[in-house]
Amino acid sequence: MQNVPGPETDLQVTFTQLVETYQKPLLNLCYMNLRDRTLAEDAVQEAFLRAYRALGKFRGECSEKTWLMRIAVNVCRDMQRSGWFTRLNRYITPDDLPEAASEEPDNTLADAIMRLPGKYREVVLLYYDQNMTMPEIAGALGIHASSVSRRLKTACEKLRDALGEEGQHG
Amino acid sequence: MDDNRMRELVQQAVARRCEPLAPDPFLAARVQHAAEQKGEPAMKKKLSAGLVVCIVLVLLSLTALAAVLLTGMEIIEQQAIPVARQNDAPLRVNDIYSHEELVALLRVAEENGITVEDDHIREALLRGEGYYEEETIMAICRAAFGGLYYEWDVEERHWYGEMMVEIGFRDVNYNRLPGEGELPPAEARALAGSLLKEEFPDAPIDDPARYRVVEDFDEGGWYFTYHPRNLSDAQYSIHFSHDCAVVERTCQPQSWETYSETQLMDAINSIYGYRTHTQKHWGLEGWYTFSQMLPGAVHTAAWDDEYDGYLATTYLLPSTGDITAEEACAIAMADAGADGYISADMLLLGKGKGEEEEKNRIWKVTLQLLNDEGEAETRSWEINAATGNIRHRMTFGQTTHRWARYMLFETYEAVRAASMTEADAKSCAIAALQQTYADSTPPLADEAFYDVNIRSVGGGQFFAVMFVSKTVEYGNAYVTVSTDGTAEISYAYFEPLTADNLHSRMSNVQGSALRWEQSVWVEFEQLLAAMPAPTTFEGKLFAAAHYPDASTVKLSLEDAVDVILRDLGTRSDDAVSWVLIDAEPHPVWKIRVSTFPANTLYEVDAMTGEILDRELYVCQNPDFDHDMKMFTLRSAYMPAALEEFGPVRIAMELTVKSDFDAFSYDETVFMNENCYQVTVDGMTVTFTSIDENLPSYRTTILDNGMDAEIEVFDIPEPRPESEGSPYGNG
Repeated sequence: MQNVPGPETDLQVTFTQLVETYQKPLLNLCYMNLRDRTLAEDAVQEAFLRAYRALGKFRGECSEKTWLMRIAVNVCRDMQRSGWFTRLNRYITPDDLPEAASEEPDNTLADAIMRLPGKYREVVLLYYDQNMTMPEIAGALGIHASSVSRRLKTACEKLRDALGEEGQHG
Repeated sequence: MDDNRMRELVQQAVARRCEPLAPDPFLAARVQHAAEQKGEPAMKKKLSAGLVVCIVLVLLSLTALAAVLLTGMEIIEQQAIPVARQNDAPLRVNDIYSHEELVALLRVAEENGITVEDDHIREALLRGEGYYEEETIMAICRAAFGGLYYEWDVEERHWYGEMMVEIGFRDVNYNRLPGEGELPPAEARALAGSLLKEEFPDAPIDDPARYRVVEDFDEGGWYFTYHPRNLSDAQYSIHFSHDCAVVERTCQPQSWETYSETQLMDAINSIYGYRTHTQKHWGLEGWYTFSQMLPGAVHTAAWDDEYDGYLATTYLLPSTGDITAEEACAIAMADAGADGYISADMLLLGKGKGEEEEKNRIWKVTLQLLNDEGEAETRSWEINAATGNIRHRMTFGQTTHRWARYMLFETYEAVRAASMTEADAKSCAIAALQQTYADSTPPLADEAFYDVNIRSVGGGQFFAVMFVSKTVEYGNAYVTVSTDGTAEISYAYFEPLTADNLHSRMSNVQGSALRWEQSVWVEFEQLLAAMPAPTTFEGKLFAAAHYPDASTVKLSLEDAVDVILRDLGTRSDDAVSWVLIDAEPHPVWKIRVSTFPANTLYEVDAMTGEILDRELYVCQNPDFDHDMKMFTLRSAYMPAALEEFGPVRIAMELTVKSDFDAFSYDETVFMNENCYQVTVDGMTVTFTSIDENLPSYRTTILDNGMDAEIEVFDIPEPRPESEGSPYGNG
């Protein structure tokens, strides 16, 4: 945006590009994990803050996306462990989150994803929504690719169970 | 439902659910500002005198220890844990060890015969960075145990989890050991192979040269996966329950003949790059295998310049006439004047094909080095493998692709030259917008009206083209253009400027309204006054408000924030938003501060400093705690909201904010028909609980929503803390 002070260093240019490219995917990931707009925004900011502080040390051994997703997943996990989230989260039902549009969209699948236990929700979002490969997800979550595959399989079964007949119609 | 259909459905579902979430255009600037405020990565506390003595003693006694070397586990238990215990660690990240302490741990490990292979950690620590503390502990353990973390057995992972908790990196050890009624590890391992061979008797899984074994368990039983170390063997897996019943046995042959380019990449990663699942660890054999198979790979939409480059490159295996990789690396380092590097890639490449290739064997050495400013810099050298002469040097810039290190410079340049340029992408984007918005396309190509931000995304598969308006007259647009010229419009706000979209247009130009200078609000009001009346809820509230010049009041913004901080009695994290609003008898500062467990909206008399109103601001649902609350007085907002949204919504809000338990439940529970039945009688709304864990509420809205009478009844017994979420959140 034109009124943001101009980038001064290559690092800042890189960082600005990273934020522009990945802010929305990270926001979606954090929102689907935390189910709270403000918490998701805070998580994204915290994730980028951590990324900024570590940017000079990013080795390029994984893609920028994998690296950022790993940071964001860890931030979400930290927030979910906090006392405030535990309290906040206790009675929330995804059915009642704000609707995206006024004409009553079908949020059945999104809600089912948000109801999944965290370890399954993470792999579903990274694999299907973020188009990451299983090895990339393994790198991002710090687990083995075969664990990703197994969690994904279980998650899909849970989603099918949750969706019932609707899932059959695709 | 196949994988692609599932992907399509999930992406649609997430996009729909997350549509209201708008990226913050100033996030990058704010993060950089915050980083500067907080300082660069938190450096560690200085060593205590006692600890220095302790470390010195450890180092001095290494000779004595040499006879009885410490194991990796002992180093962690006897060195890392005591140091962590001495350091108080109130924060989770990057604050437990100083870099001196980490360096001391590495030295102890090395003196005990445990060499950490991650050069980057060593370099980073030697540069005085403590950021890699958890990685350092992991690196010592990996060096000691061998293999990857997830190839460790469950006992090793459990021990590691215990250490993480002891040190303070984790709250809980998630890596538990099998408990009562669960099959112990030794028995499970003995059983796995025999159960698998009941169905696949010829499976060569016992040959460690051909297979890596990964084990895991949970309440559902044991899982063993046998990963092949080549492209010809099949992958096997077995899952059996704790009572030894087989749940699933699989044999997955590698059908590489039908692999796409990305599947091939994954397969090579799994076999040759399994340590990190990246190309960095493929080695010459991995690249050679990849290049032999890539020509037969099925092309998908993911095929891009990168794969063109790989396809045009000849990857070789060393022969007797070649200098070694280490010699090539030494030549590059000497040329750079470097005595160390952060990371290194070495590839043996051929120039040309066939006979010519043999005459042009080239080592491509790519090093990540520290430059004079102490920043990481990536540089490549191409060195004749026969003579050791350097034929080309290259320094990676911000726009150089990572994959440039895996091919000759001329190959990289050739594939890049043949691909779409940023200028092409901009033209495609403008053409797409003009076609879609033929009657309303603004002057997108005119630099007086638009900044155009173009970048390569999706690993080079797309250009993201963002048109950022410089004036409120025009809105922004965002288009992605694929390398084949296909343009997809993400959004284009080309509607005429009105009183309803003025706020959003000004936010495009001026940044988030949360942090506008008061002079911007004055300008906003002037522009709004000159326009036809707004029609939306937000527009009407803006039009009804008046935003005076800050110089007309006694209290500056800083003064008002001081008043709030004194009222809070504690230091708030931050003032989130601020605006001066005209009111009787004096203008009022409306300020949102970050407080726990929710933000608070304050109204402070800008002449006397009196606090006129405090309101919790939950902010997790914009329809519940509306953004407009930050820009209007509560006395203006509540009556308008009552009219706009009706008594049920307002009663929910008043109830939630008045009752701590209700607040903790969150307003969404009130909207859940499985939790509450809602009845309305004029301004009295009754939320009758149909969940035995929730109380009922009868709320009567008073004074146009400014107050309420709330009766709580059917109060349930307190829930035990140990009960988890009814929705099974993980």
